[in-house]
Amino acid sequence: MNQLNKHIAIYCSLLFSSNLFGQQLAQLNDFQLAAPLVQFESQLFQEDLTISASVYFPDAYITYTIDASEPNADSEPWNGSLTIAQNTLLKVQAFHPECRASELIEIPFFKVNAITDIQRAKLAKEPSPKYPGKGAKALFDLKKGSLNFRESAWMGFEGEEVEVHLEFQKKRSIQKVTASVLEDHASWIFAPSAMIVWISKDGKNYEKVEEQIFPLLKENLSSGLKFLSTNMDEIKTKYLKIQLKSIPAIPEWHQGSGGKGWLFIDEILID
Amino acid sequence: MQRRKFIQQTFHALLGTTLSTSLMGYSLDAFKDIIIGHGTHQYKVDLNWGALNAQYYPVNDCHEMVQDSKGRIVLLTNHTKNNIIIYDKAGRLLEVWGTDYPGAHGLSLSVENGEDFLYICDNHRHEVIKTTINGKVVMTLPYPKDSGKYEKADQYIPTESAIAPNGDIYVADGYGQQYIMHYDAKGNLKNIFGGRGEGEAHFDNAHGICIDDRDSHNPTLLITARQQNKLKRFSLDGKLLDVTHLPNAFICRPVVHGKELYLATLVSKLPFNSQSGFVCILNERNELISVPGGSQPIYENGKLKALHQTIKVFQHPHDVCVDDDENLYVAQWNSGRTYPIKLIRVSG
Repeated sequence: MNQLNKHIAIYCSLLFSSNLFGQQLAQLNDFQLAAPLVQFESQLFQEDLTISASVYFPDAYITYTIDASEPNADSEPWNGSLTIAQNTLLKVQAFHPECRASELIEIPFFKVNAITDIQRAKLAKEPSPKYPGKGAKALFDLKKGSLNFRESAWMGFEGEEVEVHLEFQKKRSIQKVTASVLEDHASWIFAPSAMIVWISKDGKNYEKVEEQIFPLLKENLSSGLKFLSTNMDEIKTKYLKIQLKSIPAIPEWHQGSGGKGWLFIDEILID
Repeated sequence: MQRRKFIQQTFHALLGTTLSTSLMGYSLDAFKDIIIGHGTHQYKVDLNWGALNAQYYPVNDCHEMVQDSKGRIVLLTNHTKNNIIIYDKAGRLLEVWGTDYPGAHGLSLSVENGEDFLYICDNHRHEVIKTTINGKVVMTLPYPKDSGKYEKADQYIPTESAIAPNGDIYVADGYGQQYIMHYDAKGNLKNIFGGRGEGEAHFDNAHGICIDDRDSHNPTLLITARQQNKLKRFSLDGKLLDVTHLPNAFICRPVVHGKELYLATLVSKLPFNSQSGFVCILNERNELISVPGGSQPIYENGKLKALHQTIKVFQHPHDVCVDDDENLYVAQWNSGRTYPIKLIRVSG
């Protein structure tokens, strides 16, 4: 009987949606929750970090995972705040008994050590005078920018590749290079299309050790903080060159199609 | 075609009546109407209001809406097949006109000696056009060359106009040089103020303007600085009086109705994404009291907490029209060519 009633109820609802009475009112299950608001000081931290997340729609709640699995309505419920002390990929999502779940928010957090053995850092080409940042060394100061590209943590390059030359105090081991970049398509800022890592014995002649191509852009006007990493076999070197390639041209779907995009970078991490 | 639809609807009506009376209470519980907003200003949502056959009556962006003296709802879109679409409050089509406004953006109503006139700000034509309610052009205000602030028409991209009780016309150059033009009723430039620059008397995206006549003895101007998330009050002669900050909210145009002020909010700054808009409703002291589609207004030590979207009802709300039943119509920019959304007030 209940089952029958349910079917009838659904049928009635279909009738309503045929605009039978001239005015059909939208129901909770017509809508998706907005993403939870996740707040924290920086995605880079040295000892530990406290993260808060909130959702403000009546009866909505948040669940999360830190084990790379996708959260669902029955995952660990979010309780005010979370403190982490190691590299963490946080996934949070908001749920509601009737509304559709929010989009999934994924934020990587990196526990980092300050890099103290850089003797010299140099940019092959200076950034745009409009977005000069604070010089090549500031790429290694662990001070991250926010989504606001006007902050001085960001260096902006128009249509050019970024090339950073590093000299360490002595030969050191490197397993991973991560570039922290901004994506803000509405402001014509695009993530790089490739990252290339070179090493050298003398600081003059370089040998390519890794080239990582990043996937082509989908049609969207998204914005976000991106960490692009290259995982490679452990290398030992005193000299390192990191190249980030701008997208060759702004993609077709964008209003600036065919033109030069901007590349914004605030940090480089070396592990 | 019409007849077939009629028969079908009649059949559904009969069946619907029979079934729903037999179900009493149970059937609709499973499908709860959404209610958005806070406190005294809460609303149910009608997503289908004003939906038309897009082949005959298309829209691009639905930029702005007003209610005319006859109670009709007038929509301005930048589709040149029908720049103006006129509905009744139930969303039935009454009339369309207008093919000459490719950059149709701002729509204001002015009642002059008992007759309704419309002011259309056109971003592409770089001018403001005054028409009768039937679409006959009666005056065009070109770019204000005499002001000395503009070298060519392209620099002037008016987004909104407001008409004072004495007939004076104010125009906000919200996508251009950020000046506010003050004309007399005949279109002679009397004053110019605002413009880009540092300090609160200047603007970044002076997108919307209205006359605030809630204090009937002392009408003032309210102007949004959308990029700054601020609402700025000026005297009618262009002096800055006060500033209201709505943190995170990219407010489009202020709309006075009764004692309240309504503002469609295109997006919120954080979390930044392209579909994060809502509506703001302020009381007569310009305190935020309700945010349909957004987070609850919370003041801590007199400071409003940052606003953000909570439920994805809206995509880029660009204007809100309040009708004489206190219901709202929300026109949206870049929302996939959708028709406006009606919000039906449920609490008093």
